[in-house]
Amino acid sequence: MKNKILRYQAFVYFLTLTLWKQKVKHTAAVFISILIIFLLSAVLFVSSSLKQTLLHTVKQQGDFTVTRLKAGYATQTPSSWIEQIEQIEGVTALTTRVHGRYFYQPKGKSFLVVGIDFFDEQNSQLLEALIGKMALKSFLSQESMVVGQGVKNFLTAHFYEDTFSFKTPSGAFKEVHIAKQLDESTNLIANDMVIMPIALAREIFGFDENEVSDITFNVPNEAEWDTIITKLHLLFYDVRILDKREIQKGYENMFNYKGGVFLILYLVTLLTFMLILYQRYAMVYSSERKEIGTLRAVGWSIKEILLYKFYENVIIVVVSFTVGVLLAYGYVFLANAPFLKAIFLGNANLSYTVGFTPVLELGLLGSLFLLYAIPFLVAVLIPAWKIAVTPPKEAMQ
Amino acid sequence: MHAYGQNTTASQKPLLLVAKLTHFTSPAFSSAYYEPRKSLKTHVINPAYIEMLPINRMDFVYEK
Repeated sequence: MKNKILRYQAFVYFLTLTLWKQKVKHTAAVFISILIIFLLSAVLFVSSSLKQTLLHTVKQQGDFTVTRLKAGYATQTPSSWIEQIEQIEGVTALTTRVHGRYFYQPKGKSFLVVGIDFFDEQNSQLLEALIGKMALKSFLSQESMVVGQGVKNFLTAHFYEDTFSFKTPSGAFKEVHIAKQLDESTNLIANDMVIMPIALAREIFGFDENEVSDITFNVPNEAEWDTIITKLHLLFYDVRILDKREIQKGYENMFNYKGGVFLILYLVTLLTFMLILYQRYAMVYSSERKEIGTLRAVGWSIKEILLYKFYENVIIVVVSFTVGVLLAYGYVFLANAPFLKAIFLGNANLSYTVGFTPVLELGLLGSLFLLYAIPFLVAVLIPAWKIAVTPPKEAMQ
Repeated sequence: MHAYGQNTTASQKPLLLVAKLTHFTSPAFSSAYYEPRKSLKTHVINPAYIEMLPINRMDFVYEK
C-alpha cells in the first residue's frame, strides 16, 4: 500500500515537473484551444441569451395576429373585422394596432411607430406601469409619444429635444411631444420603437379612421387554436393569420441557425487543430517520440506511458476549456459582446446598447467540452500509443 | 436552461410590459429601412438573415 502511494506521488511529481519544464511547448496548444473555445462559447452565450429573452417575451404577445392581405402583401385591415371575430366563441382580449416604419429621409434612419388604443383600460394601465402616473398624465394631455432609447438618442443628436415633427403622406407636418424615454432594459425590442395613441399613428401613416394594421387576440384554450384558424378562414378570404407557435418557432430557428453556422466553423477549426496535434506526435524525428522512447528504455510500461500522456493532456484540456469559457462569459455578459452583437442584431440603423441576460445552458457547455476534449485526447493518445508499442531503440532513432 | 446571476424577472419587467402593450416581441434589429424587422408578415427566405428580402420583392430598389 505504502509502495503504491509512493509510486503515485512520484508519478504526480514527474507529471507536474515535465508540464512545467515543457511549458513553452504547451503554450501554443493552450492558446489556440482557449481562442477556439472562447469564440464558440461567446456565440453560444449570445444566441442562448437572446433566445431565452425572446421566448420569455413572446408569452406576453397576443395568441393570434390577423392581417388583411392584398396581392400577397399585408395591407390595412378594416376595423369592422373586430365585430366578426368577436362572434367566434373562445376569443378574448381583442385589440387593434396601427404600426409601421417611419423613414427619416435626411439621415436615412427609420423608427418603428406603434399606435395603441389607450381608451382600452388595460392598455392605459400597462403604459402607466411602464412610464409612471405623472408621465401618463402628460402623455394623455397632448399629442405625445414614448420613445425607445435608440430613437431618443438619435432625436437629441438632431436637436429634437422635446418634440419631433412627423411628415404625413399629405405633406403636412405633425408635431408630437416626446413624453418619456423607455427604460434601457427594453432596448432589445424597443430600441427603435415609438409608442403613441392609435389616432395619431393613423394620421402619420395616412390610414383611414376605420383602418388598422392588424388585430390581435387571445384564445386561452390552446386546443381550440386550430378550429379558430379554420373559422377565420371561413370568415375572410384575404387574411393572413399568425399564431404564437409560428413566432416561437421563428425565434428558435433564427438563433439556432446563426449559432449553427459558427458551430460548423468551429468543427472545421477543431479538425485542423487536431490534425496538427496528431502530426506533432506522428513525425519521425519529433521530441515526443524520443521522450516516449526514453521512458520505455528506463522501464516504463505502455500503460504507464499512456496514463502519463492522458493526465498531461487532461490538465491542458481542462485549463484551456475553463479559461476559454470564463473569458467568453465576461466578454458577453459583462462587456455586452462588442462586435459580436452586431452579427446578431445588425448595425445599419440606430445605434443601441443591449444588455444580455446571463443564461448558462449546462447541457450545451457539457457537449462542447466533450466535443473538444475527446478529439484532443484521441489526437494525442493514438500516436503516443503507436510510439510506445515500438521498441525503444527504434523510437529514439 | 439555467439563468442566474441577476434577478431576471425584475430586470426584464419593463421589457415584458412593452411586449404586452405593443404585442411586438421581435428584436429591434438595427437593420436598414428597406430590410423588414421580423414582423412575420413578410415571407423570410433566410432564417439566418431575416433582414434579407425575397428576390421577387422590388420595393427596395425604388426605396433607394
